[in-house]
Amino acid sequence: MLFNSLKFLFLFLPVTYFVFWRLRSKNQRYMWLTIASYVFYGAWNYKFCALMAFSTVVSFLSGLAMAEYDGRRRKLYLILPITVDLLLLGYFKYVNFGLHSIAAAAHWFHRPVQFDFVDVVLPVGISFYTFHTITYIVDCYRGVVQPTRNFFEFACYVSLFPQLVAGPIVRFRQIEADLEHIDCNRRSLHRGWSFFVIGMIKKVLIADTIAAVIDPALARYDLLSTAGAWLCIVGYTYQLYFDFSGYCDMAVGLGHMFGLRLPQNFNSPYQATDIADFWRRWHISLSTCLRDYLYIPMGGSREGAWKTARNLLITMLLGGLWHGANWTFVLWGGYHGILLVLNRSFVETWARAPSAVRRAATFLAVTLGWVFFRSANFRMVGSLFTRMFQYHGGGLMPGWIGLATVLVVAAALAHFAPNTFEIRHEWHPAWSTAFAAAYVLCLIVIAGAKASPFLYFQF
Amino acid sequence: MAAAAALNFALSFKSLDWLAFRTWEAAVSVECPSGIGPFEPDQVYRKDRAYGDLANIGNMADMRQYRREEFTVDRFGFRNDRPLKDVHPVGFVIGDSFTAGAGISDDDTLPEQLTRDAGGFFYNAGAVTGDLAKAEVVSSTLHLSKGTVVYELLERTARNGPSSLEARKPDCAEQFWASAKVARAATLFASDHSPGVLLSRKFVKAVENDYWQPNPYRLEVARRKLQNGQEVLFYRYDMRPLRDEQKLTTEWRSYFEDLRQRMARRNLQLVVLVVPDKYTVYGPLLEERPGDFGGERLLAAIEQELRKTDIPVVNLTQKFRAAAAEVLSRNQYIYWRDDTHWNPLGIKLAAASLWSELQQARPVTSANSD
Repeated sequence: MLFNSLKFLFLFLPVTYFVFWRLRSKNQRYMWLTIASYVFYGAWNYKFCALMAFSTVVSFLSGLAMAEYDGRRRKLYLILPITVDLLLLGYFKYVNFGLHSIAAAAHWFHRPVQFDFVDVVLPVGISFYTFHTITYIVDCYRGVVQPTRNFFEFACYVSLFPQLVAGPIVRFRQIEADLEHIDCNRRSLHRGWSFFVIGMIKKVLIADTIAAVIDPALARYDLLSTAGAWLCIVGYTYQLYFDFSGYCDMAVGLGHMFGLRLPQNFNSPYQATDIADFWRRWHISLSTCLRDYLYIPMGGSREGAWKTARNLLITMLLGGLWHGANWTFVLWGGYHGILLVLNRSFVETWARAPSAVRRAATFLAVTLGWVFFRSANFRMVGSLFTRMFQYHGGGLMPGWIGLATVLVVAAALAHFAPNTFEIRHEWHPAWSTAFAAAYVLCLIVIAGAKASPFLYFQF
Repeated sequence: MAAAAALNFALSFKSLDWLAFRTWEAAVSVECPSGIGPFEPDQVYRKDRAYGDLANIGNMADMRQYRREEFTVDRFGFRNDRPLKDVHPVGFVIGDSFTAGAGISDDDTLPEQLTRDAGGFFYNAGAVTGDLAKAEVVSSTLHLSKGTVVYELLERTARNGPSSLEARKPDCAEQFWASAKVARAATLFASDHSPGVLLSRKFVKAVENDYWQPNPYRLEVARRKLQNGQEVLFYRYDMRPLRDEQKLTTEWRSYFEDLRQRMARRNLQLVVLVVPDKYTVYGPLLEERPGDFGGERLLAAIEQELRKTDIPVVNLTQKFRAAAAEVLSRNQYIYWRDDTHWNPLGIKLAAASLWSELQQARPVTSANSD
């Protein structure tokens, strides 16, 4: 079930909302949200629910155990659930990738091997909810949060449907206070609905419109002209941003509807002035997780330039791998790792350049990085870069006029407009009418077209 | 959202012909109709400016051939505009949309043309797909103690084999919730055929014109030029090479032998009408003539097998090719240029050929129905 589906909008959300606000006690509301979230998740595949439930139980019990023990046993209850979660993630997401890679490497060394690849379906959102449980366990170990003794509260946190399948990655400490007071939180329906509608507009009217044009063109990437290749990659740059940030806005809006404040995940990343600034604005929940649970524990920037560079590269390579079981994602992560290292080395020189130049150059660097991210394999990476930087004649793809129109709007919003967290979500007749009209247009497009999934939910 | 749901609810009680590009689409919009036929009983659909399925799929407004259509459904759920108490059928025709009459008005359907030629009423039992079980149900419903059953076999169906007929039947086990009428009236999302969803599809389709948005169905429709300089549309699926010719021929022989036995138990004679796809008929008349017509071989093989088993059969392929070539110079056609289906001229020719075979096989008069 997707947020931009009629079943979610007209059935799931109204029922979940109305029942929630008629329940009075904390536990009732935890249980109801948990049940609703499992129904939401089960709509993808009911078998996935067992996996999430298992991860939830293991992490909850480990948290309790950590509260009871010290020393080595406490460390055991840190390692155990993290290992379970990483094994689950590794198996479902990376096992065939690993086998393919070994087979390719063996072939490269003229020692071919044959594997029986595992018939496994990647559970939707597994990367997100395993991060939720891992961050909870680590924070409990570090004493940043007190392990909760209320299983329903914890189950509600892990399975919370607004952020379950595609983020933002919400740490327990970020939502603990709201969960604790779930029985007396004020609903923020207006603010919630405002976020939700804006997110829907970004996703349906901008991101999906771009996707409809560039996806068929990129499916035949070896036939693209130079102009077509650039149009596709620039289009993808905006598609990815509006798709993901739109989804996150919808998630935040849904949270508000239930009295829960989810964190901001995008802070106008295409207005960044350097690559470090970009990573402070893009997928903030992931980048801060990588920083707090990987980069800093490895030493961060405390141990000299070389080790800092090493730590940055490892963090970004793993961050890339997190996005998908493909070497192109790793390459993308490595590319950003190199950019971050270079940024650290030339930060003062860079700062002297005019702001407009820095913003444009950062945007260009990020756009080129999306070539790796979007490509299914190295061949596609090579072909796209070749077409972008070596002249290839030919026309543009069908629908390019509509694409160009939407890209102008997307660029204006991404580079110059305030983001959803910066605007005031207040009632204003003209704006409210405009948003309502845009929302109706979204409903028409949703009903009339095939559903397109959020780009990030297969992570 | 409440307003959208209320509007959808209000529109659900109106027939969908105003939303459809052709009366056929309105008629088949009820997924599990309440009668024995494929359509919701006691409905009339009208469209003053209907056009073809290929022009619609391909979003090719310049290729549309507008025509007026009226589509009447009787109390059983079949397409029939005569009260049955006033007529006594001498037989019925089963088949797919070619029999039921997609893209044409009530008066022009194959059973209607056959009725005029034969002087006896042939009931239109055409459905979305042919169905063995339906033939028996129809004969019981019509209280037909003797007569003729014409089975229209389209080349596309022949290529897919008899098993495809079973696969395409809708699952209407849970009648209440599966009834599109209830779903349409209930909420916006519950049915793919709710007015809100259909309206939205029209809007999206208008935008998917390769200008504002790419047309994702463009590749399903082939646009070709005929020898008279005019363009015609084909369904690309019909242009694929033929496979498993021998296997299909054997399967269809078994299928029709079984059907003949079932009909014979009811004192009904089976006649098979083999209808070529538009591409098989018009392929030889294209400016760039394609090489292979596997469908033609398959239909000839099926005809041969049926003749061996003494099942009367009419294969329209060669007659249609000759007729299409003859009228082409006058810019006339026996299939709609913008549709996969035949037009009234083609149907008239088919009915005449069929009647000729029926007369040879077993003369049909109103006295036979006694």
